[in-house]
Amino acid sequence: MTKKITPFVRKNIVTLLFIILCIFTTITSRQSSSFILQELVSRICRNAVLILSLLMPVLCGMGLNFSIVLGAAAGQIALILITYWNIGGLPGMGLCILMASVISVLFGIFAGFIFNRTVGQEMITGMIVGYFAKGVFDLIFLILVGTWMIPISDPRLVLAGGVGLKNTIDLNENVKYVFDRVWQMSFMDCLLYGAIVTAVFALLQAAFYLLYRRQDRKSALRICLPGLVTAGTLTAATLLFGCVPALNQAAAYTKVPVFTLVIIAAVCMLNAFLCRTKLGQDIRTCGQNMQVATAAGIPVGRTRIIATVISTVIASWGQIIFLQNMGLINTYTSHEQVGTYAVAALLVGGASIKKASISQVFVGALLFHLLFFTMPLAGNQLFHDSQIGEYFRVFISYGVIAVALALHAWNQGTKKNR
Amino acid sequence: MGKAANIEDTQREFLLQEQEGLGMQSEFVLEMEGISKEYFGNPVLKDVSIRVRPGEILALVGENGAGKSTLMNILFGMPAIHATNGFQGQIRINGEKVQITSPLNAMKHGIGMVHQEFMLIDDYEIAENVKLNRENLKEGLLRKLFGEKAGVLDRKAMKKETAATLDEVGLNIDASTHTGSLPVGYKQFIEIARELDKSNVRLIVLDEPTAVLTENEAEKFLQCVKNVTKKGISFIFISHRLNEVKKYADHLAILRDGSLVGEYDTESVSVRKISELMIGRTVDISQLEGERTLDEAISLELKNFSVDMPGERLKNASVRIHKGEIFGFAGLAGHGKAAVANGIMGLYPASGEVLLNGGSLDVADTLATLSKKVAFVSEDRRGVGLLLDESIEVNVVISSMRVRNQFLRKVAGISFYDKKACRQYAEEMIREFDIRCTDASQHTRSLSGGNQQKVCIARAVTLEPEVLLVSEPTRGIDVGAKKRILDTLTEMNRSTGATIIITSSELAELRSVCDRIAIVTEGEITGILKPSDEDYRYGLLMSGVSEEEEAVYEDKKQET
Repeated sequence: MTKKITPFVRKNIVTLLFIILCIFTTITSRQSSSFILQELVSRICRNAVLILSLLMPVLCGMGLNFSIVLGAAAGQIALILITYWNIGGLPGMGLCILMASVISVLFGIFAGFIFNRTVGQEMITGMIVGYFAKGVFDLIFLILVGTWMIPISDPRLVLAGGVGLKNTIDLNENVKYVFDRVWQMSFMDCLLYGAIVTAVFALLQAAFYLLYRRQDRKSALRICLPGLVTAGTLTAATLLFGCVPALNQAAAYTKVPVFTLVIIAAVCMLNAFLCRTKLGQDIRTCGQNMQVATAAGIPVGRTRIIATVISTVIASWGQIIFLQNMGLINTYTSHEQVGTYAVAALLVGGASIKKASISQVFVGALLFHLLFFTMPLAGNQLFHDSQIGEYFRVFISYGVIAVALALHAWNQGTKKNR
Repeated sequence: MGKAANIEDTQREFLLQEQEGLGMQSEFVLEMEGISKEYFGNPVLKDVSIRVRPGEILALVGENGAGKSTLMNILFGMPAIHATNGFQGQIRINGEKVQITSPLNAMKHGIGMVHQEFMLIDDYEIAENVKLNRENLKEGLLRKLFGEKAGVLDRKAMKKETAATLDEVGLNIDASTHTGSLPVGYKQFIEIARELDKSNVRLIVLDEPTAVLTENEAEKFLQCVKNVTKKGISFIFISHRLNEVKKYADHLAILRDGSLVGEYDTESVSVRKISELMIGRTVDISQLEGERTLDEAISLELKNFSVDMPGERLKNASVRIHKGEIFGFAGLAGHGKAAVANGIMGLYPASGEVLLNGGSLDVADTLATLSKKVAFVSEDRRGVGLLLDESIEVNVVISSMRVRNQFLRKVAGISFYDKKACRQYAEEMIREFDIRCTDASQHTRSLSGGNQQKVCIARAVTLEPEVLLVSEPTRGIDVGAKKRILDTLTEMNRSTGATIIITSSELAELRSVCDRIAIVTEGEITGILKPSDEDYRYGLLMSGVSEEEEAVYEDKKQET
């Protein structure tokens, strides 16, 4: 028994530690369940795409891509532009995403080129590239905006002195929460419909494989099993939230931005689809062994650049979703820590620099952000000083990265010794 | 059913290709003519010409540095060749003159390569490895819109075609098996299956394919190669094992110092003649010395010594090694002979007892073992043996600095690296061991295998050991350097009286230098023989027959 448990604990030590910490802080913060649920749902929806953007580079063997800061900056530039041009609504956001994608493709190519020169040190390089990008961003938007080079003089955007963008820029009314408002639903309904939709989907899938593809029952069952399991879990959750009074209330009051969820699901599916294509196979081969990939005639450098570009583009979408949910842009700081937080969340989910999955993205987002907002509150309850919790928060996000990386190296070592 | 249809398909393809070949009216699938190549004014190939007929195995033999790899790099259009001003001469494939500009280009011309190190991805299924970068793709809208890269892999077709190819090489294994879980011997088959799976392949280069295989595996592998030639595919076979060359190649070309010194039908030339031509001087490695009387004192004793080394497990080995003896451990790869030295040096968990000069030795404490004048030359030169990015000088002295506090200069109580003494000593060693290098500051990464091994031995000798453990001292080294290394070891044994324990896969070599040889089979010492004992006794012990069983067998023979 212990023989089975020990490797499991060792493998998931970061996640398990976080579960314990989260339970502790959630209880000590003494917040209502509806507050926690509401906060959690909006934070996961806000951050998921940013964390998802990290998956491709991990698959490509480039480790955790700290340079998604570039993508975030691209998203921010696009948002500032549509705010300046006063366009909004869904078509405006479409344009915004398009512009962000174009800019981040360029940024991704730039980062990819640098990564190809620093093979094996992509993570630290990505961090430095992020700092560099922040410097350039500041130069352009703090020093050049308002001068003859970038003549913008919109009082909503520019500082009183006429040069440089304001520290915080309020998004236009038709940009604020635009995705979130398209279609909202209570958490309870969301669970219920989710269970129904997945169950129907799984059954249709089974029918398709049984009747149309003429496969035997066993393989059809295997194919639709994930769908059935999800449906089952959602049903169980529906019952749980429906029957426990305290949770029932929370679930009824919590609003879920369904459209944002649909976008997140689409990005997940894009990721899963890419993995099944030739490009995905090439990326995986590069990640497994660059020499073998080269010998097989795979253009390794190009593939790595493509992986970086995909990551950067998804990150730019992620930042747009993040900011429309916030409602305002902290011009000079919003993108600054995106890399660190996304990486920390992914690591909390149980990922390593060699392996990361979509499910780890969501587990990580849940745990990391739960801890992130309960910690200052818990600090307030325990020490009557929210500042202490604030310190802990910073300490934890960097600590997680350090510990997870060290544990990963340690696990590699023990594996080798065996 | 489906499989059979598939094999028919591939056969039809081969026939089509043959017809195309006939259309060209060429006798040779590959002709490389008058190839010369210089690296920075330094000629490495001088007017070399080789030709390969369809369905033929051409062996390419020569010492390390004779120009074999350069020739193959030219054939593959490796970037390193074009970055250094290209080459002179021409290449014709099926009689048609071609310019091979890149490895991809070479593949398009139907040239495949089986590498010395496995170019396989352990985490992939066999089918994924065989179809690497030639994956079957499903038809689809996205593929039409965005090109090949957006096509979804057709795993079913990949498995089916791979299964057919695996069948062809005679490997009966499921195509969805995890590659990492396969034994080493199988991996080489998968490499060749990958080349064969390329529909246009005409010529496959085998770069020392048997170096990592046991004799048994090598034989199976080469038999498979031989079978494949019946389909009209040719091979260029690079090997150091002349017996294999003699047995399986149709023709052979011998290179020495960048020139072609001989081209023969394998039938018409003896192994002795080949090795003479290769090195240009006569060597006789199997010349035996007279038996020595051994010192009575025991230097090293193993009692029920077991080592848990992955792939090389050793169980309950007991043996006594005399002072001043040269003792050999022989056996097939994977049977546990390598575990002896690694276990004594504490590199893998071990149990049982080890006595050094009668006192017990804690094998887990490597530093203590080293300070008791036991030194080790690892079989893994490039891994644990050398600091590849350090100079020869540092590599030679580093163990002595650590273990014996030599080559250090004390300034105000702090030990500093004594640069002058080190340099002087290293230069002495370079002279003594004839290490071919620019100077003592050259990094060991850029040395040839033989010279790297000399550096390893020089370092061990610097420790002035009483017991020297040497693993695979001649693996991957050309014949000339081999002799030099074995001579050095014998010399050291005679002059200092050190006990030397050699582990080697090359039985002939062990027999030329050792006083006694233990045969390790399936993790156990099955017997200890003298070099002068008959060949068959070695053979029996290696096939797992113990001396007693052998005696019974002998008795029966006498009875009848």
